Amino acid sequence: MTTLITQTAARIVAPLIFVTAAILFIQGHNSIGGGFISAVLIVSAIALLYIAYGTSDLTRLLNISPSTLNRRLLVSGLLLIIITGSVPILLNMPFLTQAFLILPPLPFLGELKISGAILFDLGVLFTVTGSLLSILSGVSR
Amino acid sequence: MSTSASIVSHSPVLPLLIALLTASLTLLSRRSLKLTISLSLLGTCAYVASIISLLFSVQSGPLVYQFSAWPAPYGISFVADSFALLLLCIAAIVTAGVLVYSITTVDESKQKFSYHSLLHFMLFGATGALLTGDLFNLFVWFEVTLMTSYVLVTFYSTSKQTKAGMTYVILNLIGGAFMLISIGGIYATTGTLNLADLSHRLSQPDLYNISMPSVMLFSMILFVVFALKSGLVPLHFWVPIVYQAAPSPISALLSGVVKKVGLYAMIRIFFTVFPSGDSTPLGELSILTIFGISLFILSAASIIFGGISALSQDNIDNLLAYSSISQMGFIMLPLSLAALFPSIRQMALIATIILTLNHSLAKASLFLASGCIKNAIGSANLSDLGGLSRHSPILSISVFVSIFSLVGIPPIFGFFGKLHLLILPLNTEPIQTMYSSLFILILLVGTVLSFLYAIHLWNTGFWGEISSTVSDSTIPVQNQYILLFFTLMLISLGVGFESISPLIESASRSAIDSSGYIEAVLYHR
Repeated sequence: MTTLITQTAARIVAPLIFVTAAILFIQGHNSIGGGFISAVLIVSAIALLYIAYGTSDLTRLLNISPSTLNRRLLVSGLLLIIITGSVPILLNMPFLTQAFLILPPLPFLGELKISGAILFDLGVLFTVTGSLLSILSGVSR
Repeated sequence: MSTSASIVSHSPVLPLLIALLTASLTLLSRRSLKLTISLSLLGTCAYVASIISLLFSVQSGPLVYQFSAWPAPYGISFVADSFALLLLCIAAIVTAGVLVYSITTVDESKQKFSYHSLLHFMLFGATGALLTGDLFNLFVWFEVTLMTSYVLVTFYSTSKQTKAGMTYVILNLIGGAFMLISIGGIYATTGTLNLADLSHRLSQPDLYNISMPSVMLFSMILFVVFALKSGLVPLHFWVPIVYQAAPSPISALLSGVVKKVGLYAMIRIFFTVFPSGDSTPLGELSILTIFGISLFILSAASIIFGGISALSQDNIDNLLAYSSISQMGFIMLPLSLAALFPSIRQMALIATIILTLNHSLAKASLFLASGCIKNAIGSANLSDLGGLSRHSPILSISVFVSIFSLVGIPPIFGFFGKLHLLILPLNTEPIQTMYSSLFILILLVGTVLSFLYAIHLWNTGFWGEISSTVSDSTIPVQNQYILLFFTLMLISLGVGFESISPLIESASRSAIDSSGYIEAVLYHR
C-alpha cells in the first residue's frame, strides 16, 4: 500500500485527524468528545501512517521500539488517572472530585472552561492510545 | 460543585485504589521479576488488610461513598455493607492464595509479562462490582472483571485455550448485551439507575408512573444473564470447557471470585432492590415469585445434572467443573425458597453465604491441587493416577478435606452450610409441604451424588497402588503449602464456627435490608 497516492493522501488526512482529535479532547469534559474518542482517532491516524509508510520508518523516526512506547504510554496513563483522581483525597474531598477554571475569551477558541477532569481525560487518552497501539502491533505482526 | 466541609471517610474507596495502583505498578516493573513479585505481594497484603478493617467497621451499618461529591441519586455511590465485604474478604483471600501458588508455578517469562497485573485488575473489577450502588456501574465492573478473565483463560494461548476462550468470550458478550438491554429498559421504565433510588421508587410505582410488567420482564432478562454467568443448568455448558482449558490457578479464581460476582449481583438486585416493589403484585405473580419458582427449577436441575455428570468424569478438572455446577445449585436453592417465603429469608441467606464461602475456599484448593498434579505428572486423568495419598500426603489431605467439605461432613466448614439448608424447609410458615418435601428430596439426592463423586475422585486417584506415572514424579513441596493454608482455613472455620457466625449473620441481615440500604444511600447526607 505504500504508493505515492496513499502517502500523499495520508500526509493531508493525518494532520486533519490529529486536529479533530485535539478539539474533541479539549471540549470533552462538558460536551461531545473526551479522552477515549480522541485516543481512537489518534490511533486511526497512526494506523493510516503505518499503512502508507510502513512501520519501520516511523519506528526509526521516534527512535524507540513500538512495544516499549506503547507500554510506557499505557502505564503513564494509568498512573495519571490514579494521581488526578487521588488529589482530592489529600484535600479531604471524595475521590475524582474536580475543580474548574473559566479562561478569559481567546481568539478563535472563544471562552474555554478548563476543568481538573481534563488531566484525568489525558490519562484516559494515554491508556487507550497505548493499549490500542499494542493491539495493532500485535495483530499486524 | 460545592464540597461539604465535613470530614469524608475514604475507607470504602481504598481497596479499589490499592488494587488499581498495584496493577499499574506491576505493569511498570517489567525489568525485574523480584520487584514485580514483591510489589504484587505487598499490594495483596494491603488489599486484604483494607478489606478486613472495612469489614469490621461496617458491622454497625453500611458506609456510603459518593464519587466526585455528587449527591446520591445523581452521582455514583459506593455502598460498603457487611454482605459485600464478607464476599470480598473471601475473594481477597482466594486471590492471595492463588497469587502465592502462581509465584512458584507460573513460568517466569509469563509472570514478567502481565500475569500479576491481570490478577490485580481482576480484583479491581470484583471490588468495584461488589461495592457499587449503581446498576450501570455494576455492568461496567462486570466487564472489567470479565475482560481480565478472558486474557487469563487464554494465558498460554494453546489451541485448546483459544477454543475455550472463544466460547467464553462470545457467551459473555451475548450475556453482556442482554444485561445492557435490561439495564436500559429498567432505566427507561423507572427513571433511575441508583440501586437505592430504584428500590425506593419501586415501593411507590404509581407515584413514579412505573409500569410493573416491564420491570418484571427486564428483571427476568437480568435473571437469565446472572444464571448464565453463574453457570446454572441449562446455561452451564461453558463451565467444563473453560475450567478444563484455563490454567489451574485461573480456574480457582473463576470459581472463587468471578462466579461469586454474578451471585452477589443476583442477591443484591433480587433481595435488596426488588422486594420493596413486591407488595404490588401483578395478579397472582410478583417479581420474586417468578424469580423463586424459576430459580428453584434451575438450581434443582443443576444439582442433579452436575452431580450425575461429575460421577462419570475421568479428568479431574472436568469433575471439578461439573461439581461446580452442582454446588452452584446448592448455593442458589435456598435463595429460591427465600424469594417465595419472606419469613425464612434471612435463614436462607445464611445458608447461601456459608455455602458460598465454603465453595470458594474448597474449589480454590481443589483446582490448585489439580494444577500441582498436572505440573508434576503431566496428566489430570484419574486413570493415570493412583496411590497419591502415599506419594504426596500434604496434597492428599488437602484434597480430602476440601472435597468432603463440599459434601458437608462435620466438623469441616461445609457441614454448617448443609445443616442450615436442611432446617430451612421446616421453618416455612405455613409449612409448604410440596416445596419442603421436594427441597429435602433434592438436597438428599444431591448430597448423595456429591458424596459419590468425592469417593470416586478419592478412590481412583488417591488410594490404591501407586501407578508408574505417579511414582516417577515428584510434586514440589513448596507448591503444596498453600493448599494446606486453604485446608486449615476450612477446618478452623468449621471448628470455630461460633466465632465467624456473627459476621455471617450480619451479612445476611444487610443483604435483605432494603430500607436500611435506601436510608444509608439516599438520606445519608
